[in-house]
Amino acid sequence: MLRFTLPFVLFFLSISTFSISVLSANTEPSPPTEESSSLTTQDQGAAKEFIVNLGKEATSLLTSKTISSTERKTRFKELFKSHFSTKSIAKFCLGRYWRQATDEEKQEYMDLFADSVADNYASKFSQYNSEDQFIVSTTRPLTDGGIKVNSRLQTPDGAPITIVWLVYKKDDSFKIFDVLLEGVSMSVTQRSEYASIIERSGGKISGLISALQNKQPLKKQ
Amino acid sequence: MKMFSVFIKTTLSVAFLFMGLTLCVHSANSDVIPPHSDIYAAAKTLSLNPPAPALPLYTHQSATEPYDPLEPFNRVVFEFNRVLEGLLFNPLVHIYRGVVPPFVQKRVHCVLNNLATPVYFLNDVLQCKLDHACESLTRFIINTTFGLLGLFDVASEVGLPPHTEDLGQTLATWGAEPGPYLVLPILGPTDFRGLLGMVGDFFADPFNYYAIHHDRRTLMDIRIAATYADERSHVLTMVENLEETSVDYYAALRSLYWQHKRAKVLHDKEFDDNDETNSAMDSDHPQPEED
Repeated sequence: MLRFTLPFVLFFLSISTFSISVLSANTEPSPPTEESSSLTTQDQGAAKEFIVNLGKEATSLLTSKTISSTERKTRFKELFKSHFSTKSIAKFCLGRYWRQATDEEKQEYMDLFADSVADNYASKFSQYNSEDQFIVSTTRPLTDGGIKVNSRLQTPDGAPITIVWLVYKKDDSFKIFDVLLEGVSMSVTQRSEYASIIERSGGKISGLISALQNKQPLKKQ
Repeated sequence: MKMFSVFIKTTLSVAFLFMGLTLCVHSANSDVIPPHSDIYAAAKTLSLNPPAPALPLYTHQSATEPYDPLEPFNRVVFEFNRVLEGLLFNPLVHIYRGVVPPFVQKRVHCVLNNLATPVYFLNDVLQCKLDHACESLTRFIINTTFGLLGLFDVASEVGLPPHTEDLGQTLATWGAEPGPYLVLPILGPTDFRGLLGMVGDFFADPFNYYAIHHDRRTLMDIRIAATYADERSHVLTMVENLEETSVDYYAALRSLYWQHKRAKVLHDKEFDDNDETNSAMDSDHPQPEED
């Protein structure tokens, strides 16, 4: 008999401990809100709106099942160039090798970079389901003047994917500098991958450029 | 049944233990109980304050870049895994995902999650995350009883969402470093801390304990196979996409693993705005230039 009553006793015990912890968690003083010098709440609201609009734009332009994959890539590239700070991201992804690169290498790399990003991400939008929901939740100012915009992609089956957008305001318009999926920075991943390729080709940036070029025609087939 | 009662007894004693802990910790931490009360004094004398949140000290290179001194060895194992996955495991997972009805797949996922919950609970306690420990314990009890041995995740419906925790993370909150990145045959990417945690979690698991001591290793094998199929079926599309699009698949996966672990350790859940550890993540990203 005891064997069967015990789970219930335990259940109520844990409920009571749980409520105690919830109660005490609620009464804890909320941490002081961060006072950021340059960022107003207006800016944060605008940043949020910027991401909401980007979501709408991407959904209408890229998720159509009828467009070809080349067309989707072209559209993605346009969207990427207009909303993302492509130069800063490309530079970041090359890491310490940026300073070693010659001007021609830089130019060649920059051209390939946008293509490579489009190759990686454009196809993801073809898998978009009309029931998927993109929800922008909160914003948080960074100490260096940036704004983190938190969002999530809720799919009908499965856990939501958290997406964090790192946004900076420049000349009255916003630009995205990084995207974090489930806490993983896409820029850092790319930098790590590029650094590995450069190291493996003897520290030569040309090694990365040819690797990126080799990846291109494969995709276009 | 004997196993069951032993397990209940253990759980009960642990429940009492940490009920006491909850009281002590919370009374020492919050203003709910006036500082002159006896409980507060008792907690003070017992000094059961939770340890200060210890951020792991990353001394290896920069924190976001993986530390991989064993790269040549890892790459060999990685290629071995890739061949094995391509020829055997991925087709099997594709079959599992394609043939088994989604309803059954969800039940499998729920049962496996419920079986793993005692270990989550243990790690919650070890990490002094008492809210999470309560959640895990309640989840396990609700899902085992009302959820028909874990077949249905009833606890999620009543507002107790699942969360995972492992010994590797526990060690991390205690200040252990990840150590070198490691690719294990079949098991895939991990690090030294993660490997240690994996071994510890395996032996701490009541299910495994039962299987080993009652000579029911087949049960254990079935569970391992099911866990593999379940986990892989969720990430297979993503993994295949990454393999196709990355220029250096090994480096891409390594970075993803490393950052993911780091983010989990820093509790950078991004919906938790009160998290002060967030600021640790703020520095390493592209920034506007002054020009």
